Amino acid sequence: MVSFSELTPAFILHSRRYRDTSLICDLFTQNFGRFSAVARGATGPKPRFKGVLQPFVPLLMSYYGAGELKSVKNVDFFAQPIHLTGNKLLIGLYVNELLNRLLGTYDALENVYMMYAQLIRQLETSDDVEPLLRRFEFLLLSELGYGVSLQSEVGTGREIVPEENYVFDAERGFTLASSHETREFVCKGIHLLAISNNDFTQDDARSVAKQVVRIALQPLLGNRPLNSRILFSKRQ
Amino acid sequence: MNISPLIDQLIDALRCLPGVGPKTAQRMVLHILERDRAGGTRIAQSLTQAIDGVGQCRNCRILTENELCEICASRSRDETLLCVVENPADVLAVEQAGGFRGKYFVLMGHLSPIDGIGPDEIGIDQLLARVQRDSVKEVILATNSTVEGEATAHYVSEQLRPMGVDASRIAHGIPFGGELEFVDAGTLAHAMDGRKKI
Ligand SMILES: [Zn+2]
Repeated sequence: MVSFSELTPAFILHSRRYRDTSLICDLFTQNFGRFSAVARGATGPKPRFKGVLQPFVPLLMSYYGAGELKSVKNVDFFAQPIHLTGNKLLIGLYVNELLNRLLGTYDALENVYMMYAQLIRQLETSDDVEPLLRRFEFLLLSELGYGVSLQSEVGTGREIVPEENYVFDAERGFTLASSHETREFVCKGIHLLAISNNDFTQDDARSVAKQVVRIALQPLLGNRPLNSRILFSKRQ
Repeated sequence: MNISPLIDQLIDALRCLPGVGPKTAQRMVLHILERDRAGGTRIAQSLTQAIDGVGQCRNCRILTENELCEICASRSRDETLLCVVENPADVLAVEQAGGFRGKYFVLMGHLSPIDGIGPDEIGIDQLLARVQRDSVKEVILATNSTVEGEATAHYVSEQLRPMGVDASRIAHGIPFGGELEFVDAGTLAHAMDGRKKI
């Protein structure tokens, strides 16, 4: 049985008010994965934990309780808080919603945790966040067992050729587009290879990466779309 | 216990109040029934009247029993200066602080994608329509200094930009009278970010 009593690294993905002065926090921890815990007395005029229970703050936390819903025992800063502003804040909320939806509870995914910690740290300082986000999404898909192969065709295993056109299926992968392709999304091999080399210099590669991720996430998200996407699509 | 189903029902009903647990609720109920039945009747009547009579201001969404709240109806306040807050309690807080002569818009919450609360749920369309209608010149975004509050402020400011309306964010940072060495790291980082020329 896992011991919850020691301080372990964690991020808050989301929190909501509970009763008068408590919060229920959805946590993503390095050692125990995602789960929820009540932080008693964390809001109100004299909050415990002095407002540190916010998303994007690297924390050290300990918990207690035998049930599914834990209680927060202690909280401390693990590292300097990450201060996201403007659009980066909306991207951060999108990533948090994504993790909240895709990670099972108590599923320790240490790699994902490290990737997440790195991503939001990079978001804070980077001027070009789209490649960072795409890389994270591809890595997340692969850590969850839904990796997208950007270098070879599914079935035949043939290498992706820069000049050819391809279609993408979330459950299978990339296949050569036929001359009478009816699917909406057709992309060029050269952009797939660029993405797999982390080369996002071309706008076309960015657009392809975005659509591939969207299609790949679709079966994992089911019928409920991500709410944070509205924040991007509604903006003029 | 189950002395009386009606008593149980009342105890249960009172527990929806903040700060009222089962013990407190039981004390309240016994007090009313044993010592102050007239007071109890008054509570019951006022409660029904308030629930029937109090709604939201058509303009700013604060609680009021009129179509327009007192602030929105006032002619002496500047309607081209609009302060956006999350909750009605925030309006009271800003009013008590004094000095603000504009009007308000209450979002009744903040953007919270994970909870399914998006722009529609917090009345962004209504806010933008109001800005247009009243030819608002400046919008002060006084949402909370939380991640969701910041995200909401940013989102609203992005919506206002194409309308050519100035948006400003209230300053966050060191509490008045606060000493730097006792301020927590998050607050201090915020204060450094929000620095201004003197
Ligand atoms: Zn009003």
